[in-house]
Amino acid sequence: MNEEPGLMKIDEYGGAALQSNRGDFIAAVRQSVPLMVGLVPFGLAYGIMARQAGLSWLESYTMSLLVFAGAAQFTAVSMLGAGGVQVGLIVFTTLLINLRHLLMGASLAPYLQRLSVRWQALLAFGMVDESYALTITRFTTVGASHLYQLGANLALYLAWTTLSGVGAALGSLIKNPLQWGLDFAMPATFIMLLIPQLKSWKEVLVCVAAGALAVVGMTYLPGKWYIIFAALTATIIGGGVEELCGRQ
Amino acid sequence: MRPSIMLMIAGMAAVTFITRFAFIVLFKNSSFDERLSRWLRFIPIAILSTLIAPTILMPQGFLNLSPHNSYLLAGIASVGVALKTRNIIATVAAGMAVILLLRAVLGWA
Repeated sequence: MNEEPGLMKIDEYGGAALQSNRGDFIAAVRQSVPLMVGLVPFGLAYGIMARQAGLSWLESYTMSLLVFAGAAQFTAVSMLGAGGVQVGLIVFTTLLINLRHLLMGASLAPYLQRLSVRWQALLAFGMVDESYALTITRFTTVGASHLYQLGANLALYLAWTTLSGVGAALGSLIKNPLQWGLDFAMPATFIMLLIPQLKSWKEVLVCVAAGALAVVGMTYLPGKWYIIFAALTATIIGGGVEELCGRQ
Repeated sequence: MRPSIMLMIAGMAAVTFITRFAFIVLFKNSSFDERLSRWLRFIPIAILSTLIAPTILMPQGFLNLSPHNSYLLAGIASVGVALKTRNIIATVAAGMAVILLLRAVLGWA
């Protein structure tokens, strides 16, 4: 990793809002471990499914290296497996599935304004659900640090790409990795990240509203639309309540 | 690598990157007045809750609030341990232990 030149570049900006050191990077990698464990069944399952859909090992692995978006990759290979699907439709579906990243980007943007566009692009490339959850929690509780975000991104990127490659190489030798119980590591980690953020009844209200709307949305909306629907609506509820009540 | 697959991967990579990069690069310092920040601060809570709820409440794709839903029981265990210990390893371990136990011993889904 070429974090040194970036580090010096950031120091020139001298932003008080963004102070990073190597300790942040290491802390991020350490705190990523439970989420990397949580990726094990999904990474392997993606690799297996990609091969079953007719992709070569190199094609399966390259998709993980370049796209790095679990939900979209799963959808793409199941569409390929079903056969007769246009490339354009798969790309468009990927766009729809990943629209939720707009919300995540919006909430991280205030912390990343002092970075060069190159750094913003590097950090944006690695912003997946898991690294976003770690990063925004760290930024709002401890303080913004681009090296923390880089560490979380990199740890999850290496885990996802390696697991995809292994899954695609071993193929059906692995028996249903989603049944190992490891798939619960991700929601459990998200629970741990969420609970300290529920500081007042307004946060609890947003949490309950988002959860209920997600269940409704997943029941009635196609694909991953429930994420955008529930997260956006709950955010608006929270903002609206805050406007009405004034700041605490 | 077949050309059509390379094209698909390139397209997927491009649109994914655009969704991640767009708001980070487009927003400027001046756009963040206090009022907008007050709205944005609820996004992480909303997204985390949105990601957690379906995995725990509807693991088979439909709402399952029965005690035979091992993900729901594991979720309750995780919330309890998270509140008590504030420890990420303990929280993950408690949830996974409940799931594995229910699956292995009782054969629940």
